[in-house]
Amino acid sequence: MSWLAVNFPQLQLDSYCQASAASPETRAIVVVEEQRIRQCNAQARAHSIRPMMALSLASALVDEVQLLDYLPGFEAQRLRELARACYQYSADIVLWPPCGLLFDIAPMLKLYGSLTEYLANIAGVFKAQKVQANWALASSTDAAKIFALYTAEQAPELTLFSTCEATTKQRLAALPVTCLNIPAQQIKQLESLGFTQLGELFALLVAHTQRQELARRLGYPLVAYLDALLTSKATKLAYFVEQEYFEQSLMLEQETNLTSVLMFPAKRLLASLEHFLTLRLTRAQSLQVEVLNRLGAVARQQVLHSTEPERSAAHWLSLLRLQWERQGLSQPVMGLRIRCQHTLSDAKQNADLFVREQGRTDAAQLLNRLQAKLGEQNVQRLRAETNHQPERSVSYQSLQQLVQLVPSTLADKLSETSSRRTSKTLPNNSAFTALRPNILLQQPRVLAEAVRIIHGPERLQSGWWGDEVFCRDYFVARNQQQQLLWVYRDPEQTWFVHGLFA
Amino acid sequence: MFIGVAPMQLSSFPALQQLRERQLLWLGGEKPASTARSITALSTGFAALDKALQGGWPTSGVVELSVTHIGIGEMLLVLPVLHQLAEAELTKYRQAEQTKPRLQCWLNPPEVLLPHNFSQAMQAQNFIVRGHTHAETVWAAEQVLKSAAVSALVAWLPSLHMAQAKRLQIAAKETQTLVFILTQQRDVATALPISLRMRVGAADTGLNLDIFKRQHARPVAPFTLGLAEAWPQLFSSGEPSTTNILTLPNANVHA
Repeated sequence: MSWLAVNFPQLQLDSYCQASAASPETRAIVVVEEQRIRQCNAQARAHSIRPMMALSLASALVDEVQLLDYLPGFEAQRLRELARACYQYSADIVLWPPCGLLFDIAPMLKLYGSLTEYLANIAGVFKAQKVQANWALASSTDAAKIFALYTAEQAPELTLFSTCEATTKQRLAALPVTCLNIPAQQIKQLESLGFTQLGELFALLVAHTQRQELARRLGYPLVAYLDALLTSKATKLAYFVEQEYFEQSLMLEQETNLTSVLMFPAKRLLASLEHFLTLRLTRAQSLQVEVLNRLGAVARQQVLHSTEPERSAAHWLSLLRLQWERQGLSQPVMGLRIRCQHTLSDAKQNADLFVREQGRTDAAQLLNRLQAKLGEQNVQRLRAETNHQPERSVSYQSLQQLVQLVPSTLADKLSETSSRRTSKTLPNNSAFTALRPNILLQQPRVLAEAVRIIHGPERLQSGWWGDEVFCRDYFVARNQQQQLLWVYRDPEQTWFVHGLFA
Repeated sequence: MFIGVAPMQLSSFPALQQLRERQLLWLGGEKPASTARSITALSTGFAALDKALQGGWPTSGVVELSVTHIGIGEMLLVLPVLHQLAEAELTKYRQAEQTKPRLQCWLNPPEVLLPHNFSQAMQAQNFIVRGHTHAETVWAAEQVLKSAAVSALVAWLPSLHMAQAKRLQIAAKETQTLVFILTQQRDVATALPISLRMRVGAADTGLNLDIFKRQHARPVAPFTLGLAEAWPQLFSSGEPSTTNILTLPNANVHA
């Protein structure tokens, strides 16, 4: 067995997205947990700030330092995102909280042929995600973890080390006992017994009596741990399981209330969404966009709909831009999360290879754009209903229905017998269809002008079975301005205008 | 503008020749190259109007209907051609030339648009867009026209400015879309670079039409288009009768 351990020493810090991509870090930024520095950027390191340093000491070292609260939840999520990104290149991944990943590389070497090739792919992921990573190879997971934390190597040098048990043991032997992942009390105990290097401990493990003695003084778990360090026996590990949905977030360095600043992280997230969808040959119909406040909590949640399944980042970005332009931000925000839970397979799109698709995609794009800018309620489809009450004789449908249903409804109509063709000619000339105006007033208006009746009456009486009883005599009338009004008289002999023959 | 110059003399006027090269001036009876493909017209559905327009509505471009008041029957003018376009889209769809019929857009209709006078094909292809401000409405109109997915647009706009009209006209020509813009008569005097402009007034027998601007053709003298045949309930065919006047001196106003 050989294991690759990767530790991300400043995962949270790396996940902050610089407002402008090109500008180098000019300020010292540190992530603070309980008054101690947890992560610091290069600028802070230049001022001799180190992790685990007290905050008071750090602020004494440098005049101006930006403090960020440590967000464990955010970091855990970023770790899952990284695992997901690596999953493309490596099958067996184990999460190593709070900020590391373990890779079982033995099976993958068969696929990649060489270790260099494999590592280059994994390194590419971290480079694309812009996270700093410390690498280590060893024959066991525990040894790999220790190397990743204490003898941080960069990716290219890694290939120099072999992963056989002997080399691992040799390298471990030179390390101090303080690097063992055991309770601090036991480390103190080891030191008081005079152990400084791991090699001294390993020497005791060989002989049976010495093992017994060690176990008696320090407990069996420690001996078992030391054994695990040296052997490459397969242990039961919870491998990372890929979720079938996309979720990724980015934090900004500073709070902002401008949507234009958020466009930059949005672009990055959408590009990785596109990558995600491309790999799976799927498309997204809707996205959840969450704007996060400075504590990483959701400040506002929006849903972006596309009338046609889409994967292109540019498409989603233009929709997002239009929606943000319309709504703005209600409070200062610091991060962005994009989630896509339902994806649709690409198979359908492929089927229509030889059919001209131009008109269809265009319709969906147009409707999306209009909806994003004007609001969903302002782009709708009109439908005539079979209801006698004029107010209820028309209904609005959402556009999703328009784009998806039009071909099928038309196909239904085409399959209808040609005997119904009469209804396809202009219906107003038919004696069976009633005369209806083109424009109906939302609220009937009391008729308060002299009019000339030119057609009518037509009595509409309905709703006797329910609460909405109505009985009206409709007429067509011309007023002084020569408008053609649709007027009615109710049982109380009051006259109302209800429509216009526009 | 029409200038009386014989063609052979044109070369002796360099300034005129320049204007002609820039397609700002054309000879009588000759159509600019850019409009050569749109010689065919769409029948309006009314014989008298077809005759006046020498064929019918242009196949693409902006047509302005400037009405005295909304509700004098102005939409009745455009329903037949929209029906015809919708049916043509259906035919193309049936013959599998298109995967989907193009849509017809109704932009900013006043109050509630009733689709009862639409044919089935029109009902299947309609969609309604509303803008909150004039700028939004014009933006939406342009987006609709730039898309190849729309065959016709009917828009209610309070006014139309020179720049807006030009942009819409160009977009409509490019995507071969027919646009009807319904405006209220106010500043019809200003020149607009669109295909067709007409004033629409009310008449008992139909509509009074004054086609005062046509691209590449002469205006038409005002005439009354009889609509009694198509809409007998709304328009009378002869002299107006005065027997059925209903006056409401004390209109019952209930709160």
